[in-house]
Amino acid sequence: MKRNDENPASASPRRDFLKTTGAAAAGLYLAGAGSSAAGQKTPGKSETLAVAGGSPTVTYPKEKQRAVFRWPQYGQSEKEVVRAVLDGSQRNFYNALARLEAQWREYNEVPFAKSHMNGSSALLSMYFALDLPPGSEVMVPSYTFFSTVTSLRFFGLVPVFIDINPRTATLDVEDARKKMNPKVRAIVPMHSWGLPCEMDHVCDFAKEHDLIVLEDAAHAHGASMQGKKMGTWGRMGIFSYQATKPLPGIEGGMGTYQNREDYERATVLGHYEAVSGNAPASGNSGIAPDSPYRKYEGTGLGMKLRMHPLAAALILKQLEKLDEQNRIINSQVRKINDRICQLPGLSEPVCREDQERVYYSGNLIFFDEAKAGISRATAVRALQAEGVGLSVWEYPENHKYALYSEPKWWHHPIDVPKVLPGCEEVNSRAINLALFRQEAPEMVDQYIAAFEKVWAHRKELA
Amino acid sequence: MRQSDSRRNFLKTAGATAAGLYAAGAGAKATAQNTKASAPVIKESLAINGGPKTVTVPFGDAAQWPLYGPEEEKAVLEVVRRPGYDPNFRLERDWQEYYKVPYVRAYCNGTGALNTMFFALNLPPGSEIMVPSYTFFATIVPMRLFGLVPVFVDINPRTLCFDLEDAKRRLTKNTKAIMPVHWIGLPADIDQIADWAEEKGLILLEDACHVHGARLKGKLMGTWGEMAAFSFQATKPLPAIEGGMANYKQREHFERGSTFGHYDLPVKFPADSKYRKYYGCGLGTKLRMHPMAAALARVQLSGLDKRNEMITKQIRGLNDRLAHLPGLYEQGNGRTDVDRIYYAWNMLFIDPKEAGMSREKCVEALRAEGVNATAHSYTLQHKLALYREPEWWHHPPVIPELPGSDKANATGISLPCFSKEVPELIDQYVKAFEKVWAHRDQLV
Repeated sequence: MKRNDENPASASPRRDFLKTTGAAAAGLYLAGAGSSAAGQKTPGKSETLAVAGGSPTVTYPKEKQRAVFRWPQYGQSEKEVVRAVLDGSQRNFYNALARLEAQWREYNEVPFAKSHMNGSSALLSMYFALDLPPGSEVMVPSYTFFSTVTSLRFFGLVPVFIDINPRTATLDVEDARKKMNPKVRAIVPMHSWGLPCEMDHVCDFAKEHDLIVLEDAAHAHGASMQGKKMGTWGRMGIFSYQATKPLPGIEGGMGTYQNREDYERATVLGHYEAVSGNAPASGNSGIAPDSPYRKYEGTGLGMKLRMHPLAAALILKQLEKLDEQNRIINSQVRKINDRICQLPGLSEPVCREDQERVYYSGNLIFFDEAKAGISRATAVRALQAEGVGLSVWEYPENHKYALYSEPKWWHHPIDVPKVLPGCEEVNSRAINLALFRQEAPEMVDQYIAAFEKVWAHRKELA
Repeated sequence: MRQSDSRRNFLKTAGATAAGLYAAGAGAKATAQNTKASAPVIKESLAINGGPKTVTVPFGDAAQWPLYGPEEEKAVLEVVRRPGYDPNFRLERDWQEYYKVPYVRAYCNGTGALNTMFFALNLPPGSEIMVPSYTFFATIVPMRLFGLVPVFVDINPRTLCFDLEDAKRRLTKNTKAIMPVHWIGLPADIDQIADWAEEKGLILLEDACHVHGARLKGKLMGTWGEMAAFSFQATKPLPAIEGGMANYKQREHFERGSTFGHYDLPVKFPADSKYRKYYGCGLGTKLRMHPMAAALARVQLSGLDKRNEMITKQIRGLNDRLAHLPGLYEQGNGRTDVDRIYYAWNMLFIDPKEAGMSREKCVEALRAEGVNATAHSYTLQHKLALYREPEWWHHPPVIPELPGSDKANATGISLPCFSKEVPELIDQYVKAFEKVWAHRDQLV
C-alpha cells in the first residue's frame, strides 16, 4: 500500500472556493442524482473538473496540508523526553522499558506485557511462547505484514493462508472454516488498518476447534470491541510502534499475555536481562524467581529483542495522547466518509456498533465501478487533480511470495492457495484516502466537495 | 605490573622506583630518593585497618558513558522532526568509509548482526563453530536457531581472548567456522588464528562487539574475518544505546544476511541476486536499527578515534604506574603490533603467590582506600543450563573443562574505564595501590 502520509496531496494553485459548496451540493448527489440536478446552482457541477483543465477544489494551503497529514505528530514534548534520555540524567536507560510495560498493562487492562524491539520481534516471541510441536499449522491472513507469517518459520510452524472478508479487509472466519485441518492449532486475526476483527465469531470458531487465538494488533492501538481492547481478546497479542503506526516510536513493539507461562516464555527468547533479574524490579518486567525459565539466566534462548530506550521515551509520551489522537483522526474520517460514502459506488469497511475502531495509515474506501459508473483509476486521477490525497489501494498478498512456495524453508510444504478472492477484490476495488491527523474542517469540506464535483461530472469521465 | 607475555620496563618513574622496595615488602626502608613520591602514603595505615582513605577526589563522572553532547542531541532531534530511515543508510556509508570493507549492514543490535552471520553461513545443520565460552551469550546462543552447535574454546587468562592452542586440541570433523572475540578492546591473535583457520579450511568470523577502532598490524579489527559483528549498545566503545553492524566480505553473505533481517532491502540487490525474490517477506524477521540510534552512532563514529585515544591515555596513565607492583598484571598480549582500545573495564589480574596476598584481601583493601576495584568474574557460557539441555540443539554441545577461563575469573580485578581526563584521581589510584602493596603483609 502506498502511504498517503508520505505523499500528501500534490500542490494545487490557490483559488477561492465556497466553503459550503460541497455541503450544499451533497444532498443532490446522495442518490446518485447529481446529473439530474438540473436548474439548481450546484457549483460542483458547474465547475470544470481539474483533470479537464478546471481549477482544483482543494485549495487549503499546502504547508497546512502537510501539517495535517504529518505522521507521527511529534512536537515539543517528544523532543523534551528525548533530550532527557540523552542528557545523562537517567542512570539506567532501560528503566523506561518497565515503565512502558506497566502503563501498557494498565491502558489495555491485561495482566502481562513485554516490550520488544519491534512488532516482528513481538510476533517471534509470541510464536515461541506457543511451544507447539514442529509441523503445527497456524491460520494467518495473507493480507498482512510479512512478519505475521515469516516468523512462524523459526519454530517449525507452517502457515495456513486465510482470505479476508472484502467488506472489512479482515480475517474471513468462513474461509478459515473451509480450511480447517487437524494440524491447525492456532489462529491469528489481524485488526487491519485499525478495524477490529469480529472477535466474537473468531473466538467461537476457535473454541469449536480448540484453537489458540493470537491477535495481531499491530494496527489497532486503542481500538476495542464490546469495551475490551484489541490485543486482549486472544491468549496473546502483539503491537507495533513503528513510525507509521497509531502509536509511533519509530521502531518498537509490545506483546500482551493473559498468563504467566506465555509471558515468561515469550520473554526468555529475546531478553536475557529480564531472565537474569537485571531488569528493574518494578512490575513484571523480569521473570519470577520460581519460574522454570529462570535457569536461562545469562543465555536467553537466542536473540536480543530489547526495545530502544529512546523509542520507549517517545512511546510513553505518545501513549498519553493516544486516545485524543485517535479521536481526532476518527472524527475527520467520519465527517468525510459520512458524506462521500453516500456517493454511488463508494463504501467503507463495515464497523459494528459494538466495535470502536481506530485508523492506521489510510482511510480504506471500497470502490464499486459498476455502481459508480466510472473506473477506479479514472476517479483516482480526477480526484488527485482536484487536490485530494489518495491513491489506488494495493497491499501485497503474502501467499504470492516465493518464500511460501519453496519447501526448503518450511517444516512441510505450505498449501498455498491459488487465489484468495477477498484479497483480490479489495486490491482491485479499493482506494486509499489520506488520513487527517489534525482537526481541519476547511480541508474536510474541500475533500467532500472534490468528491462530489468528480461524481457530478463522472459521466464526462466514463 | 606486567603484561601477560612481556615485562615492562618500569624503572623510569618515581612510583616504579619505589616499587622495587615494596616488592620485597620493604616499604619502610624507602630511600630518600623515593620518599618524596610515596612516603606520605606508606606511613599511614591501610584504610581497612583504620587509616585514612587514599582516594579523596570524588569519583563523579570519571567513567561516565556514553559521552553525548550537543551534536548527538541535534542529530537525534532531527529524527524526531523528520522521522524516517535515512539515518541508517547514512551510518552505513560512513561505517563503510571507516572500515573499507566491501559490504556493511546496520542492525538493531549486535545480537541481530550475529544472527545474520550465522544465517549467512548457510551451513548444514549439525555444523560446529569454535567460540570462547568467556563471552556474551550472543556470540553463541543464536547458533541454535540455525542448527549450529558451539565448540567451546578456552581463553588465555591474561588476554581474555581466544586461545589458539586450545582450539587446536578441540577441532572436530564437524567444525566449519571459528569466531574469536576481541575482548574489551584487545584484539585476539587473529593473524595466527587466520593462518590456522585457512590451513584447516575453517571460515573465520569475528565478534568485534568490543573493539571499535582497534587494530592489529595496522588492520582494523572486524576486517580480518569473512564477517564481523559490532554492537552499539549503551556501554560499548561506540554507543547508540541499542544498535549493531555487520561487515561482510562476500556478496553472498551480505545479501543472505541482509535478507534475514531486512524484508525491505532485497529490492536493492543487483538484478541477478538470488535473494531479490524475497523482497517483501525477507527470510526471517525484522532487525532494523532504530534511526535515532543510527543518528547517534553516526555522530559517535566521527569522534571514535579521539575518544579511544583519550581513554587509552587515562588507562595507560594509570597502568604504566602500577607496572612495578609484584604479582599484578594487566590484560594484554605484549605484542607491539597491537593498537588496542579500552572498553567497560580496566582489567587487571593478581597472582596471589607473587603478590603475597589473596585477590579478595587485595580488593577489599583497595576498596577501603577508595578505589573502585572489583573481584571480577564473568559468566562462562559453557556452565549455563542451556548448553546441557539437548532439546535446544541439533546435537549436544561438548561441555569442556576450561582452566584458562576459570583462572581469569579467579584472578581478575576490574577497575573503572576512565572516560575523562582525571589526573588527580589517577594519582590517588596509584598511591592507593602502592599503599596496599606496601602493607600487603598485613593482609595475609
